[in-house]
Amino acid sequence: MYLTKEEEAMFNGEFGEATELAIKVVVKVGEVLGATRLIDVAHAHISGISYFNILDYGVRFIEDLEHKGACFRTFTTANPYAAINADFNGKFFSNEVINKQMRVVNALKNMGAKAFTCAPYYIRTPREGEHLAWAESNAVLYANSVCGARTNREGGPLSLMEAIIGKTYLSGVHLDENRIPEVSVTVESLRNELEVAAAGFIIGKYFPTSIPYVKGLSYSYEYYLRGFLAAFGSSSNSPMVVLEGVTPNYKRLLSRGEISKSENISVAEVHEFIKEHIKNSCSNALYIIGCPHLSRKEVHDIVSYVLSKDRIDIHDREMWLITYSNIKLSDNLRRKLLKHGIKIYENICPVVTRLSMIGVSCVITDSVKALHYIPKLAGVPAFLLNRESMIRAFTRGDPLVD
Amino acid sequence: MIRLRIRAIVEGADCCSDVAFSEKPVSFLGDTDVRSGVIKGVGEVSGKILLLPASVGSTVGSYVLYALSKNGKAPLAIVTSSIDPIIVTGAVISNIPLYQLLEPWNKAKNILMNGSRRGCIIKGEYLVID
Repeated sequence: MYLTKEEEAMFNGEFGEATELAIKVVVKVGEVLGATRLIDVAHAHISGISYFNILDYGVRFIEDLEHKGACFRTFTTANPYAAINADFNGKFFSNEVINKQMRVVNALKNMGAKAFTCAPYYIRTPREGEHLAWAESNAVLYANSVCGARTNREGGPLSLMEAIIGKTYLSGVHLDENRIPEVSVTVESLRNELEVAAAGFIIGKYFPTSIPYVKGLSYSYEYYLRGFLAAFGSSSNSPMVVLEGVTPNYKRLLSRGEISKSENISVAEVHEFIKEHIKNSCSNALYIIGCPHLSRKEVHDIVSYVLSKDRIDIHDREMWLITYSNIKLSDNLRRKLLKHGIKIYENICPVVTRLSMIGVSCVITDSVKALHYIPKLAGVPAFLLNRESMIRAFTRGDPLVD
Repeated sequence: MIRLRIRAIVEGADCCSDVAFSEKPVSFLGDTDVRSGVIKGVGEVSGKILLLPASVGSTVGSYVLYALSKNGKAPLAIVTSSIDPIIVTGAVISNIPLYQLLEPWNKAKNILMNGSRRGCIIKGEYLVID
């Protein structure tokens, strides 16, 4: 691989031990993937920071890097961490878990991490054509497909190395020729965020390795697209979808390639998928909205809707709204929400948290991504319910019978 | 004795040792006990040449190789048929020599299935199995 003078100096240890290690990793991975040089990235996003995923091995590695003086050379954000600041019905995590998770968070902050969210595009929205080094599949898909920026789907440890050198290897969807759709999908008219996300999951199953050209979603709300891409990323390895009417230059991208296969996603197929997973209630249920993290506007919309109705005390169920920090809500407002059984948590992710440890027996969510990962990572079964039904049940106290 | 062609991804010195062989792809996260150096379905890997078709699973699997190395339980070298960023990252951060097998996986598999368990890495170009 060709290296600039500065990169060579990094490689030879002139920028310290951590930088040397980081550039060696990125160069080796790049060489294996056929890259001929490195490129600067405007923003790195690190995944793999939940203590429940990385365990003591990850804590040790990340702290060792900090001790070696590692410092991020580009704007860097990280995924949300385990829900250690949360309680379910008064039950908290053990101090051991909390402390180990905080060690990871502090090490990343000391190296320069600016935020902890799975929606880094709300912290710093990527510009069209910009090169990024992002891990976290929903963010990668959003950056490529909605913003027209360029990032491969990096792994957790690799993205950490890329943050340290502020560079990635030139390969994959950083190159024009690898951003061309190969298959085409038409989605029939769908009603809500849940249906659109379900369509994303189904498309990913049809085409687990190709970039699809998707028609029929251009009039969706932004958060529908976010859920769609997150769900697609759970069943597909592709880093990108070309969305008609949304993705910058979608016409040019379509015209440059050849569509080898076409599919139609019918309303019936989507309803069938949801029917298999839907549930209104179960015992010790935790209701979750915010996978991926909610935008500031969504939080405000939900909060003002809930508080615009008559206040009702809800004791028999609990909902978490998950978002990133800087959502300015007064303590008074939070207390009012709590009366409705609603808590707002920032910077955390319940999906990468062993929820069974705090007494949760099942999760009900509007996120198809969460549906897919919660049984594997959080250790409890998960079911679907659309957002409107959930919010109504927590606003008016409607019974949730299954 | 049989000679299999390999290429160095992370360079290391020539060495000879027992071969720890995995018939199936290995998921480092979940399948590894970093204290004992035992990988489920493979056995003890520390100080051995680990031969596997591929690694699968979470990208934080790279950290498991790091932990093995910090605990003094790392394999002497890894030879894998399919190379991916997880194993490359893991090998570099842990300083474990890594080689890609340049011959069909089944050829290596058949030899190991016949009971051969001793191998040498020669010049970073060959894995020689007794």
